[in-house]
Amino acid sequence: MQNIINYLKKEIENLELSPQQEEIGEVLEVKDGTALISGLQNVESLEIIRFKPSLKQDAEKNKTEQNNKEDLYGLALNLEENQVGSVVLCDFSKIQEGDIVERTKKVLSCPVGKELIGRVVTPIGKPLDGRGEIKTENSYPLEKIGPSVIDREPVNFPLHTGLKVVDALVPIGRGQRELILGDRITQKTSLTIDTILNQKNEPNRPICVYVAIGKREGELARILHTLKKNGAMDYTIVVAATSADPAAFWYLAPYAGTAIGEYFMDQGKDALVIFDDLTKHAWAWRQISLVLKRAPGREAYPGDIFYLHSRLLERAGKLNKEKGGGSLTALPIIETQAGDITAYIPTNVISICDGQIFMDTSLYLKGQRPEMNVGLSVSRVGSAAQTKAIKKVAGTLKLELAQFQELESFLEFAEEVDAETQKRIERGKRMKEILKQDSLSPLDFEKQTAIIFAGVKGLLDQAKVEDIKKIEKDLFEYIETQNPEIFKKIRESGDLDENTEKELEKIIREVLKIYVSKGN
Amino acid sequence: MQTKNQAKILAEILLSATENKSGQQQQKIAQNFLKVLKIKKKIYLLPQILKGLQKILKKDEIELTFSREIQDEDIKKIEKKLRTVFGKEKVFKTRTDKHLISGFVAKTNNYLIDASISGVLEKMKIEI
Repeated sequence: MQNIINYLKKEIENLELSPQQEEIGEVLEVKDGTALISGLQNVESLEIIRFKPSLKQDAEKNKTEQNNKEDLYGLALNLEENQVGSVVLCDFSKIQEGDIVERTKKVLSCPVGKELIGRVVTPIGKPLDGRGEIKTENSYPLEKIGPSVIDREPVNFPLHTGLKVVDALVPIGRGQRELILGDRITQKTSLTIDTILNQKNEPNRPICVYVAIGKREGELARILHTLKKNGAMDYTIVVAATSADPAAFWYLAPYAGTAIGEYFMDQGKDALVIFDDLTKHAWAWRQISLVLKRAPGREAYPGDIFYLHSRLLERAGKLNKEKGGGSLTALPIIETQAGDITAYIPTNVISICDGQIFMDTSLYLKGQRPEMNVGLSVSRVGSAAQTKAIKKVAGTLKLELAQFQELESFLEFAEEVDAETQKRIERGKRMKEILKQDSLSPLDFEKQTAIIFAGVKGLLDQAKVEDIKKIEKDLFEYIETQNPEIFKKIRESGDLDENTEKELEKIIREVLKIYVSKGN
Repeated sequence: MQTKNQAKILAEILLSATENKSGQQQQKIAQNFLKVLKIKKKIYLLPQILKGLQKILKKDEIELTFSREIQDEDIKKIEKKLRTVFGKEKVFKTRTDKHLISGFVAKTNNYLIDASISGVLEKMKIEI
C-alpha cells in the first residue's frame, strides 16, 4: 500500500499542475456524428480534441448544474475561417451545444505491439473482447506516409492463400496489394479467411490483421469463431468497426489496421492486413464529408476519395534489407454492384493495387467455387512471387483454361468436334474440377503442386470428372501415409525436380487404377 | 451559410449604429431596424441576428466562475491580473459553481484559465 502511495506521490510531483492559458472552443452544432466548433484558432488538422461538459446555469432556480459525463473525444478535420468541423469519436448524443472543447495537441494514434495479437479492438485501440485492458509500449499515428521508393525492394516471396486457383493463376507475394472484388453474394470474405488460416504453418508466418468495416456484429462473431476454432487467433489481430459504430470509426478502422501491421513490418517481420470492405469505408467518408459540407463530386463522393484509398494502400510494401526486410501485404475487398467493375470506386482501387481477383457471380451460381474469373483476374507481381514448384506445373495453366473457355462456348453450337479439340475440352473440364475448392479448406502448396501436376500432365484424362475430388483426397492420403518424403522434399526445396516428378507420376497412376478400372 | 453571413453582417450594422447613443436613441434605432427587416421580408433572420449580437458582445466578455461568494476586493485583484493577460477593454461577468471545490475559472471565447481544484484533479486523472 505504501508503495502505491509513494508511486502516486512521485507521479503527481512530475505533473505540471499550475494554471495555464489553454486554447478552447465552443460547440455550435452537433449532428450525425460531427460537431461544428467556434474558437480553437490554432488547432491542427487531425488533432484530437476533447469535449467537456459546460457549466450550465438554471436561471429560474439559480442553481448551477454540471452534467456528469466522462470526457469525449473528437478529431479536427475541417479548419475553416470561423469554425472547426470535427468528427466525434464516441456517442455524439452526449455532446451538447455550448460544450467547451479543448485541444490535446496530440495526433490520433493507436496502440501497437505484440500485446494486440489474439485481441479484438476498436480503431482507437479499446478492447472489445472483454479480456481486459491492453497495455502496449508503443503507439503509431493512424495517418502516416508510406515507405519511399528507396526503402522498398521488389516483391519476391510468396504469400500462399491455400487456394489452388489463386496460388496457381494469380500468385500473391508478401508486400503486394491484391484487390478482391465481387458482388454481395460472392465469397470474398471466405477467401481472405482461408488466407489467414493458411498462414498457420507457413515459414516466417505473417501476423494477420483483419479489419472489419461496417460488418454486422453477428457476422463478425461468426468470423471470430472460425478464427478461434482453427487456432488462427494465435497470430491474428481483429480491428472492428461494426455497423452499430459511428461513421468516424468506419473511416478510421483501415488506418488503424495498417498502423498495427506497420509496426510488425518495421520490426523486420511480415504482416498481412485485410480490409473488409473498402466500399463501406468510402461510404463513411462520403457521409462525413457531406455532413461537414465539403463539396460533393461524382456519385456524391468528395473530391479526395481517390486519395482516401491511395494513401492507405501505399503504406503496404516490401522493405529492403537496410530497413529490416519486413513486408506489409494488403488484401482490400471492394463490393461491386451487378458485377460492374467499371464503377467509380472499383476503378479507383484497381488502379492503386498490384492486381485484382474478380469473383464472378455467374460462376458462383454455376457452382464453381472459388468463383474467380480467370480472364479478369491478374497479379501484376506474377511468378516473381510464386514457388518454383507451382510455377513449373501451373506455367501454361492460364492459357489452357482460357482456350478451354472459348471451346466450351463453341461446343454449345457444334455437334461434332475433332479428336484434338475433344481432348482439350476433356482436359479443361478436369482442370476446372481440380481448381474447385471448399471454403475453410486451405491446401499447403506441396499438395497443390501434386494435384495440379496430375491435371496438366494429362494423368487424370481417363478418370471421370465426378471422381476428381475423391481422387484428390485419396492421392493426398496415399502420399501422406505411404510416401510422406515427397511432400517434405517439395516443401523444403520449394521445387519439383525430375526424380520427384517421376515418383509423383507413379503414385498418381497407382491411385488412379481403382477409378479407371471402375470406369471401364 | 449565406443566411448566417447575412445575419452576422446585420448584427454588426445594428451594433455600430447604436454605439455611443443614449438609451432612448438606441430604442428608436432598434424599432427602425425591425421596420426595415419587415419591409425587406427578412424578419426570419431575427433569431440569428440576436445570436450574432450575443456572440459579438461576448467577445469582450470574460466569464469568471468562483467556487463560492468572495469579497469584491479579491475579485478586483483577479480582474486586474487577468486584464494584463486578455487586454484592458474586457468586461467581467461573475458567477459561482460549488463543483469547482476551490479556486476559479476564467473563460473567454477562445481561451480558458482553470485555476480550480476540480481542474487540477481532472488533469491528474488524464495524465496518471
